Amino acid sequence: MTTGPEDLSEKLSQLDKKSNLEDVYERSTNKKRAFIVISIVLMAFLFFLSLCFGSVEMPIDETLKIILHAIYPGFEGSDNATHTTIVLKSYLPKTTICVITGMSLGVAGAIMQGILRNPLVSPFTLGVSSAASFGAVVAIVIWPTLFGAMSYIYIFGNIFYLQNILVVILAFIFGVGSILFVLLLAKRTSVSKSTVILAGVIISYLFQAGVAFGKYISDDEALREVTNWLLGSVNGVTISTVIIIFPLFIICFIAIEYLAPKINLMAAGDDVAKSLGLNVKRTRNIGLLLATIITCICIAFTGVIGFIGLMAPHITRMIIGNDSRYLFPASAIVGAITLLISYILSTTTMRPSVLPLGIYMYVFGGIFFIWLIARKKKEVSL
Amino acid sequence: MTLEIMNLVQGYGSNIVLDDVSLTIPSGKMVSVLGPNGSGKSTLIKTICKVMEPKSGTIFADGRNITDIDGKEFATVVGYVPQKYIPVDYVQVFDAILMGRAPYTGWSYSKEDFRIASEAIELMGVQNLIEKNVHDLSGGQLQKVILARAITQQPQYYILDEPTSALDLRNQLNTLRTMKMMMSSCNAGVLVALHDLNLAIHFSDEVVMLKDGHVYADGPAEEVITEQSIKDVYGVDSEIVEGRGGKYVHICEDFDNIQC
Repeated sequence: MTTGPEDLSEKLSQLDKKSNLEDVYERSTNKKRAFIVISIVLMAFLFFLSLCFGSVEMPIDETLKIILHAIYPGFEGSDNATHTTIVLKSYLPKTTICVITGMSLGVAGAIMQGILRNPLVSPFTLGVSSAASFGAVVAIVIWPTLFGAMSYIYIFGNIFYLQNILVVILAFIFGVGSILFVLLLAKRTSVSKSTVILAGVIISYLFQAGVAFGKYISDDEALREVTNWLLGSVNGVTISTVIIIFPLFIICFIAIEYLAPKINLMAAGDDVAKSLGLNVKRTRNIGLLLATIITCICIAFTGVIGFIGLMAPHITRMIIGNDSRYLFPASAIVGAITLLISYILSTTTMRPSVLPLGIYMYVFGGIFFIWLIARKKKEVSL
Repeated sequence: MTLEIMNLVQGYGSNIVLDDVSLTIPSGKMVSVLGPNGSGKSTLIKTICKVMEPKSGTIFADGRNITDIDGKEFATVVGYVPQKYIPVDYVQVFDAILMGRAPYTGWSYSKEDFRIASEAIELMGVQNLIEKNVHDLSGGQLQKVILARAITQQPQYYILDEPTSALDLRNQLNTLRTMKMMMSSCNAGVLVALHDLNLAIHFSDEVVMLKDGHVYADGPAEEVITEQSIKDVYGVDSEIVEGRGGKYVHICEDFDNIQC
């Protein structure tokens, strides 16, 4: 029985059919792996660049010496102790957090787009950023009224401002709380993806109202802090931040990657995925929860950094396709690259001041969308 | 070996769509489900494939209650071929077909998985499509790819929801011919929901006609599809004629005036 073009089938039947499919599959896999390797190299290069171009001007070879000396103490370092401290204690944590945040947002966007089968979904679609912002606003605005006297404590020889701690804690709690609320809503009836997205949009608006109210009742200083937080930046980041975030990030990232084959199945549709043996509801809930946690871990410290979760997976998917096993790590790296570029721009374009990252991300985001619409050759189901 | 549906009651909310429906799908046989729109064909299929849980009634696969069979194992028993399939972008055909091996694999595919998928691709004649984006396929091509995936899944029973509705004449015939081949080579049982009475007559071993959520008739095609049953179930006058290729259903209606 032949249903395809007659002579083509004949030609193909002369080849070893087993290896034809395997060949295609292997070629596709190699292409994906190559992309990941190249992206990692690019990311490493940008990482180094971002250490060179902080707000303090120093020659590139000096930065190189400082880093190499830190890795191999035998290697001759820089004679300028101030520079060494700046690079290692100030720049290094900041760029590391850039990488971690970029990767977190990139992979969170990728898994959410996979679960909700919508390429326009981001970690913030379901109201997470608004909820986290509300948490931060509460901490910034309410703090002075509640705990005026106690403002800082010492942990491991590092000074921690209690207000900052509260901002982090509340931003995280509200952020994760919002997704739990959405999932709870979705639990009661068998809801479709559009209902889940709608629930998230509603929560988003509610919390934005809360943020607006918080801004309204706050004094100038608090207002400035809130605005800064909402724009997102890595300026307040220290080594302790890295120590807190890194292990949580690694655990969440591995868990998300573990879900990758299941997300691949979900791309075939809920019904088909179910019939292929997947517990669709549980995968969806766990996936969305992990995406939210990994996002909140970072934005609790950095503030809201938009568009990476939307752009990175979108761009990566256009290059290497929709196989989540490769899309997740690739999207993470592209996210890190994007954020590193923003960071380098933010430290170099308006020296010596450092603009919040969020501003550059909005510019990137705008350009990205214009480009997306302009390239609309075929009908793209948004 | 059989797939037995017993006393199934199914519906959406308070709306009962299937009321005490029973039927059997034996291995190596094709059973067609016929009935007008809304008679419950898709609902029946979704319930059999565990997409929906029945309100009451049981389904036995080779003597085992399907509620006792867990997800992955069930996928090796029943293969669901949906009516509508809207693919996600940036997925290539070979990936979509290999997905059928999901019940058998974890992270990556084995040589066996590739072999089985290759055979399915060859069977459905989609070798020249495997590197294309699923999104870019025509309706007929997509249908073939979905079937190839189902064949790759190697279930004991294929459950197809109107697989021929969007296909041209030749593809309709080839789809059902492929199913018959799966029946004879793997002893698979096939349940297929159809709209085309003639296809049902020519391909089915058995026909089940649904009307208002009940089984109106159940038996060999020749006995079930009669002028009387077509009138009762579809409300359409017909004449069953013996032609060169066998029996055919001719519509004997007034084609000008709308009748409800």
